[in-house]
Amino acid sequence: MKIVAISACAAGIAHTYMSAEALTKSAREAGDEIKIEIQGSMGIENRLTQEEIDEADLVIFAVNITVENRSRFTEKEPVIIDPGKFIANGAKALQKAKDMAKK
Amino acid sequence: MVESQFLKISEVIRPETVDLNLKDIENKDQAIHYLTGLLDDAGLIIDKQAYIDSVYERESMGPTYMENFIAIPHGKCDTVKQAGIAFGRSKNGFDYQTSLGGGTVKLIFLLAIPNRMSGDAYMAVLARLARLLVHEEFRNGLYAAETYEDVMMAIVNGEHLLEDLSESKS
Repeated sequence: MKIVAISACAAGIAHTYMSAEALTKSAREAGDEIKIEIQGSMGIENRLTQEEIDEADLVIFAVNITVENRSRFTEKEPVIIDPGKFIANGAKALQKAKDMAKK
Repeated sequence: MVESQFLKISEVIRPETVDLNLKDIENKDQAIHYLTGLLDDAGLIIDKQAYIDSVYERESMGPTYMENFIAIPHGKCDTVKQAGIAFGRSKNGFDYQTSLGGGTVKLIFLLAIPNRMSGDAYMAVLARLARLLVHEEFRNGLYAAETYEDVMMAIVNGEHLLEDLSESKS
């Protein structure tokens, strides 16, 4: 499936980048397409376009702080999971995100 | 290319902020204080106590234990002069507890993060290290490192392990 995601955390370094890497790795191993926008200490990287968001089957917010520019997602129902879950076990957290989206 | 990367990374993780054989470290508090001393000695922070306070403020917000025997405590405050990393390795590990769980830690990275929003190359090194730690091959490289140069080369050569985050693909 097509996934778009955002990763962010309070200090904007450790959890933000580790969860971005872990989520991307897990998604590609599961055969999913993924693009992840990083909202961290260096500003916004890999900004998601509205088109990419609109086309996504699943939107994941791997965050423990407020997402910036959330209005882009008004037509979507993002699944919010703590970034630490992706660091602890990326595959399991990704599956949980997919299960949550079905409900 | 490799040489310029090496220079940049070596300004963030300096020889004097790496200890591959932590001794007499038995818990998180001892580790944080010891590694803060390394950052202070390297001239990366202005006020040691203010920096430690910021590390514990972050600790109170949630676990910095990252599974796989890794901990990444971090402080972000005005007293950080330049982004830096103190890296300690403990052969037998030590106890690292937070309010929301913890475990045994063998690899600990204490990050010093400047308060200002910063797009500089030093911050990019912190981000790269965080991403590399997701990969087992890189962690094995850190366990195998015998010298500071081995640690540097594991970071420089880890580039190929990283996922391409810039485009959508499966």
